[in-house]
Amino acid sequence: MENQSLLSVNSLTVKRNNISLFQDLSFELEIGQIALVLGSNGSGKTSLIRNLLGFNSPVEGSINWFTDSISYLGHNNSLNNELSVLETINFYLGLYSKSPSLLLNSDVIKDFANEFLDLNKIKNRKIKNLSVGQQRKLAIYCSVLKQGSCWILDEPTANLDKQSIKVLLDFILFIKQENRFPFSSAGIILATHDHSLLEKESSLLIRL
Amino acid sequence: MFNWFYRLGSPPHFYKLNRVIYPWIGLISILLIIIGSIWGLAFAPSDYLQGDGFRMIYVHVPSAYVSMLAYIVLAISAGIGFIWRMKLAHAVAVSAAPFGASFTLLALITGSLWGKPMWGTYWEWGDARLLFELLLFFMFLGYILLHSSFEDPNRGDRVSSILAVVGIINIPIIHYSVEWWNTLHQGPTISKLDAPSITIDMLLPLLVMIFGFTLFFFFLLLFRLQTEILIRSSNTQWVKSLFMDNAND
Amino acid sequence: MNIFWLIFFRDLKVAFKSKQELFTPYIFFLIVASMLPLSLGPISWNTPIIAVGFIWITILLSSLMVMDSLFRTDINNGTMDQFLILSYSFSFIILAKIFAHWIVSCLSLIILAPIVAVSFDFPTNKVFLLIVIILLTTPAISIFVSIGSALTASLQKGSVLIGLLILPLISPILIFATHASTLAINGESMSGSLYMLSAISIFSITFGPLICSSSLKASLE
Repeated sequence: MENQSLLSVNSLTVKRNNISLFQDLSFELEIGQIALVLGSNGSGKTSLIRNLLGFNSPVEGSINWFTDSISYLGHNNSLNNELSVLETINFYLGLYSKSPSLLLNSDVIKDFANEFLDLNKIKNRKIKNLSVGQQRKLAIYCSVLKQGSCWILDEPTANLDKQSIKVLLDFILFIKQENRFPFSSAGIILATHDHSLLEKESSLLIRL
Repeated sequence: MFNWFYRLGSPPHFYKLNRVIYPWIGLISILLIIIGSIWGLAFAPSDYLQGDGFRMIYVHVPSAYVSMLAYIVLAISAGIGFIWRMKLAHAVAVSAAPFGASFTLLALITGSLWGKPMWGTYWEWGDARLLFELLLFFMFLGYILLHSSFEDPNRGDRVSSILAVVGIINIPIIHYSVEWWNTLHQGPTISKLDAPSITIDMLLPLLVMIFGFTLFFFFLLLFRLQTEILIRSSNTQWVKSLFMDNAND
Repeated sequence: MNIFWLIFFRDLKVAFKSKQELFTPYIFFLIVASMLPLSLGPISWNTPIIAVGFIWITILLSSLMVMDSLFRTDINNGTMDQFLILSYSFSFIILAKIFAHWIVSCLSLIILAPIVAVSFDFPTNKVFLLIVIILLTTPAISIFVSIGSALTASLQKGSVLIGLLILPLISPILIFATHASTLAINGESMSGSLYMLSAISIFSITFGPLICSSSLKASLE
């Protein structure tokens, strides 16, 4: 299982409205690696991610995935305002075809839910009554539930406080290497404008 | 095998080829229209039932025919553009739309002008052909509006080409259901727009006009296409060098 | 639970929770129906034939109204992206969403349309037939309006466009539906029109979701 390749990108060129964002980008991602995509606003981080996910077709170059289970946290939180927190979690568990009892009762998920999200306190609230930061945390939590072998995060730290960022980064490092139930180690693509995030731990650095 | 197809699909190649072709098409079409008009309006015999009023047929029928042809051209090129991601095909579809709408409007106006002496009214809701033309007009307008509301032209191309393809699938259903609906309401208003039997000396100028209108449509399409290609590839090297050469001449 | 039903029930839940969105089309339907006699002035509008015209034009207008939020909410909050990366057919997800929307909008029509029809002297013993026609017609209308909604999903002011894009395309449905209703009033056999309506509905249910999903993918690009 070691050094299993997840993704290979070859000489990728991406344009937005006919303006070239970057050219000739190539990299490979393996399980247990973090790819840090660094760039300021408008540099094409989101465009790169949307190309990787296949939403946009690249102008030139190729993208090959060797897995089809991808957890994705986008710019938007993928939460419907009318639903409650618990309904949202159950919806995503169903969508990812996961067994709730098995997953939610595992120690790792429970600890993360309590420490990061304070789930017991907010579980019956409606999404629209949560703060922006809490919504972001819930979105992160939902993307964790998919247990993808690649985890793509687009600006995960937006609207989070310092304490939560630390918990999140620890959890990312945990997912990267640990093989503890219910997780097997995964590859991570992290797009951010913040240079201080996990720069040392990343095996790939993509500056846009 | 598809080499010629790809070469034709490359904008610079097509631009240079088209620059030679489209003036000739325009010249031939205008000659045909002049011949057809003089023949049809001055020399063809007048109808025993409708008198000289029937001569509207020489404008109405060709424009109605071209309006249908324009939608077919629009939808097929949009479909090709969507499936093979061919930029030139999208440019053809976008160039065809306004002229299709114009010819449809011309068919509507000539139809209602013809209707006044024949039915005593400018618009007869019971007439299936005019109603179909009106729906076709809305379909052209829908395509143009949808395409122009996208800021990103590539996205606009792809999304509105789906509308065009859905439209062309529906056109036969719309056409036949409107005709069928018309037979239900049949009674005093028998459609007089189709002459029951047309003699050969009336038909020949009509065919000349249909041919002339068709060529004229393609002339307009190719003429507009030149501009469309330049707009779409305005950032590319070949357009820049084209204008540099022109400036040096 | 199957993903199809999961999304279907989630959409129903969301629809019934946002009361304003749920009831606006119903009220719109009633208001349009009450404006139509005013627009005709002092002629005898209490005839079943006019009732048929009123019913179908109000059904068309109110179904245009319902559909604007169909895909836009999920696109704006990012849920559509999550649907796209699932290894489950995107067209089926779209079909589930359209199905839920049809249930919500069709329920209202089955209750309201007969009431409005009877108020215009539609024969009460033929109301059952009207409901059958509505049941056969509205799936096709829903699919077509969903296509319009998918085409305009990424536009800010797309809702205005849907009517223009879609109404010419659903004119055959209108023709067959009014024809069937008129035959029902006259007590004649309307099987021909019903077959046509069912054919159009089945045809649109088969291909509509594919068209919707490819236009959503194109507008998310």
